[in-house]
Amino acid sequence: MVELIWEDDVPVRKKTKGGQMKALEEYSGKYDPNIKYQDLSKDALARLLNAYSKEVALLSAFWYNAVKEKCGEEQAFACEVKVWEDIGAPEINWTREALNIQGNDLNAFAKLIEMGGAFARDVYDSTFDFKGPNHVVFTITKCPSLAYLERHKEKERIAKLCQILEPASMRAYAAAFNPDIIITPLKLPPRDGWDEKGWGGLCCQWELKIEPKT
Amino acid sequence: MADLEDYSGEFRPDLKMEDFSKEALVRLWQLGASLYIGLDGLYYTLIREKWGEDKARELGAEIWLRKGFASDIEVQRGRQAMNIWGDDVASLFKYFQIDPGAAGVLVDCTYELKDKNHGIFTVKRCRPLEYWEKHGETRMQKYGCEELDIPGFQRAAELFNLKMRATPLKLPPRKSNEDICCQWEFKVES
Repeated sequence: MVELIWEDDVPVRKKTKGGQMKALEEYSGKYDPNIKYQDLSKDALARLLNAYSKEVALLSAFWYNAVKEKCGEEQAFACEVKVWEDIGAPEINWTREALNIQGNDLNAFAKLIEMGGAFARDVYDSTFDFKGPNHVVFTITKCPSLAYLERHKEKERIAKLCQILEPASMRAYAAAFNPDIIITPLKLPPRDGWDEKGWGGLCCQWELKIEPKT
Repeated sequence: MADLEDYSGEFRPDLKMEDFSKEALVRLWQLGASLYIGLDGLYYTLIREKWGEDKARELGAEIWLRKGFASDIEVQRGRQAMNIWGDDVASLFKYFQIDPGAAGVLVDCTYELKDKNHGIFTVKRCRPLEYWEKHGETRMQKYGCEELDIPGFQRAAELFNLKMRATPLKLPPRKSNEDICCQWEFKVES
């Protein structure tokens, strides 16, 4: 086994007798030149994944804002939609490969959506209500982007993101996975009057169907 | 319940990230890093197509170098997630090791810490550089390695310690892909 020891201000790894290195819950201790991700605890790795999911969303927002400043809102939004359509196929493929998710049915699609790097669990919350193998209702119940925009009363931006960008992006992800998936938005923000309708706690809701081929 | 090595089985509505094995989580981390850099590349390419190289470079520099934008957020989130504080070079190196914009892109690096306030960072494999070399994108390589990375590494250093200096010791272009990609010295000035 190996233990990290500091000598003259420089870290070195030394072999020791017995005893496994404990998984790191964080990285507040000494610098380790040979650290591997496997040295971190599962909680720590999950926190890193959540941090990166937020960074992905923010990076896109930074690009949107920079293009908006120089070229106007219309162009910025067009770029944003195109990027989120184009990233669908690689993200689906990377996730498939990382987690060995096979098949092209809705069961596999649900797994891919929840495991994608842009949609980390704990950052977003969602449920999949399977009505049958070819029919599912997908509901997002926690969306930090929507919460932020609502807090800042950005109604126009909410309408564009939730009613134009998200459907385009969802359809691109589905098309990259299985072109026969039909996506229908059931409930999309802005959420005015949703509490009265009994939709409180929902961010958006989608129906996903694979029509059997005749 | 045994850790999931992958997600080839049935959909689990109550799945938690902690249900996966470490190896599966590490693969997901690598996926996150690819997505992060991939998204940036898509924006850059799209803007270059629409308005030309100069506009894409101008906007790219703004995203990565402007105070409070992407680099600052990236450093802040990584430090918070891993509880990495301190203002020395050792702390900066710890951050590089877990950062999607560094470790996720610079896939083979060595860190030589001479003391806590002085270290050499050597990149042996860099995914963007390999892409640019393969596609003959010399302008893009110069932009990424010089116009973004020189101020970008300095900005990262300053976010740890205003007295920390990032000095490039070796930068591309390189003569062969057997050479290192780049090498940097980080030092806290006394």
